[in-house]
Amino acid sequence: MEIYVRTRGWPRGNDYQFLGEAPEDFWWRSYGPVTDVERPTILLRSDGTSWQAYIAGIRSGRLDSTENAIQFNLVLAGDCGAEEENATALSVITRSAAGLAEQGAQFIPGDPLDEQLPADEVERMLTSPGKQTAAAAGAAVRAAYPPGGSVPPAAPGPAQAGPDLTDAGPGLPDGDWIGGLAGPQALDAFAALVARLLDSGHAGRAAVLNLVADDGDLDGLPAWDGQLGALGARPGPHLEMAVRTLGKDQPLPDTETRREPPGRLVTGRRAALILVGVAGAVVMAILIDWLVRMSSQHPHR
Amino acid sequence: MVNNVDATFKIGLLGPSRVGKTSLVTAWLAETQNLLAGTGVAMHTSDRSTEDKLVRNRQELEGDILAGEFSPASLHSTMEPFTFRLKLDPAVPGAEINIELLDFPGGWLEVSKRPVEATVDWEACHGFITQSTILLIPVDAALLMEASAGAHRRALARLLTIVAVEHVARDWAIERNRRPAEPALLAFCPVKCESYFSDSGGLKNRSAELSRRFHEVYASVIRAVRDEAPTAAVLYAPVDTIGCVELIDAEWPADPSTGELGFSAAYRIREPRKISRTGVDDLMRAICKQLVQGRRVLEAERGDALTEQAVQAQHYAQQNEGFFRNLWIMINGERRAREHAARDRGDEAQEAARRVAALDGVLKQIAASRFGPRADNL
Repeated sequence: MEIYVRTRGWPRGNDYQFLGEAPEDFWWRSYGPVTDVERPTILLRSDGTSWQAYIAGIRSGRLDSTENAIQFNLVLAGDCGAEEENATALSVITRSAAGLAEQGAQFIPGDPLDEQLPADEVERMLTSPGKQTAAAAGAAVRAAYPPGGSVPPAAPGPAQAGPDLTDAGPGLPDGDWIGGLAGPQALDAFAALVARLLDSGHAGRAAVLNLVADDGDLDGLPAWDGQLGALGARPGPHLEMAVRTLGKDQPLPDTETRREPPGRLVTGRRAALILVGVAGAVVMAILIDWLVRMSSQHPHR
Repeated sequence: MVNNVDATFKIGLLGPSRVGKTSLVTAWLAETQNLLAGTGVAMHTSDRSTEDKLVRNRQELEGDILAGEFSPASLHSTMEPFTFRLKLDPAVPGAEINIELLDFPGGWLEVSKRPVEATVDWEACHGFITQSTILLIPVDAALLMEASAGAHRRALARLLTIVAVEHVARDWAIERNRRPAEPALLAFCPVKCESYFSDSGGLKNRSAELSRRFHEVYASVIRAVRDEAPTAAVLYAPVDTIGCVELIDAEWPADPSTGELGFSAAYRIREPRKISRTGVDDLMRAICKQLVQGRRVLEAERGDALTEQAVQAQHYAQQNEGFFRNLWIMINGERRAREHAARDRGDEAQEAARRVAALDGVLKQIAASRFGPRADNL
């Protein structure tokens, strides 16, 4: 599994950058229409053989020179089905989602990462690019999120005990679905989908999207094959929205726009009939006119 | 000037990390409706991401002010380039102006601090900036004003990345000079000015000192732009990005590994706890003027082209093609079609001329309201 960590240091000059090395592809940027990638968000996508994840908004206890909180971003990538490796990814993603829900979608607690990456170490790593630093950052993430580690208490309701990290079956709706980050069973469904996507042969996405409150906000979601499970994390009452399958509770927008009202069809058919009638009358008039002319030119025939 | 037929104007932003680029943009955009009231001009966000960013920043700031303290819980940061998309409606039908404003991590400005992975992104940002009609340079007023010792002043150029700012501003000016017919505005915006002006609740008026220090530190940037683009408008517009704050402490801690001085300022919220962004109106007025002027130039160019097309179409419609040919094109309806096309071109040319006249009216209205005492044309 590849692990990349992005953060910044205290001085102005130590701006946000990946520790050691950066991923080749900044694929999460295409999710800009549905989530602010500089705020708390979680994206996981899988094509069935490999997966990629992006987690932003992990708040560090460190402050920068203007007294603003510093955050960590994590970028993870791996092969589907690699159980031991992916257990860490599952831990990072599900604990982040539970932590974010606990904090009312404001931030993901970053204490475990702060413990592994203290301020002095981060400042040193920011000025030491290379594979060694990247590997050290990756090791810190593995240590911060041990597989099967304790999950912070999440939103009230059935998810309070934390997601079941081993069972990807029960609680996972069929088809695409959406729920509020703090909604009933939302974290269970999310964790189940994450586990399924990290396994082999299941393409799809699991995402916590901070510009999304309900179905209508998913319009700008980039295309991707497979199942979609989205947790709306736009602060507000929608955070409590229960999990529901997309396209079943209400018709998809396209269905309505494509269907023409019956009245219009009748009107169109009537217009066509009138047009055929008028055309026939014109043809008849021309024929009569031609016959009259012919008979006047040849009166003896 | 205009980047496509839809009249999209670019605004570039140039400053180091943590100088207050995003704060300046959100302060400016959050106040647009108040500042444009009565002018007939309106500004709207063009996409949800832009609207959301502005709303969240405002909510967080208002939350801090109500709480009486700045919360470090807010994750203010620019890690990725972000394009604010807006629409300026000058109340002239068909003359809307699309605006794109690029914010990017300030750390990318200096080659020594720029992460390798940001090289391609920076090239795109640099290209955006040089194509911009307007260039905004936020200046950290507290940094300028709290530099009391010689060591502090020596650190200013590095902390404000003056060399990199000068370099990019010069590139912008060179590109502007290649397009002399287009409007060009460079606006220096000292931000966090609340403690140095007495016109919005500040205790002392140190505005003259701020201006003097700005001119000292940014002299090379101004000179570079003047040399490369003599006709570009250059504005000095100090801004209170919040209004109800007061600087209480400034520190210059040394980096233990390099010995280089950093800068840290702490603020308190002062009564009355109300956001009051003095100086933003000057910036807004200057920007609107440039944009409407740019749109006017575009409309005038279009109007000229349409007028020429109308004259040609009229000539073609009335062209004598000989007796039999004239008779034939009259019978088959071609003459009528040509006359119809000529009338259409004429109408379009008149419409463009009307828009130009209407935009002139808007420009007069904007020009009628003068800059406040803070702003200065350089």
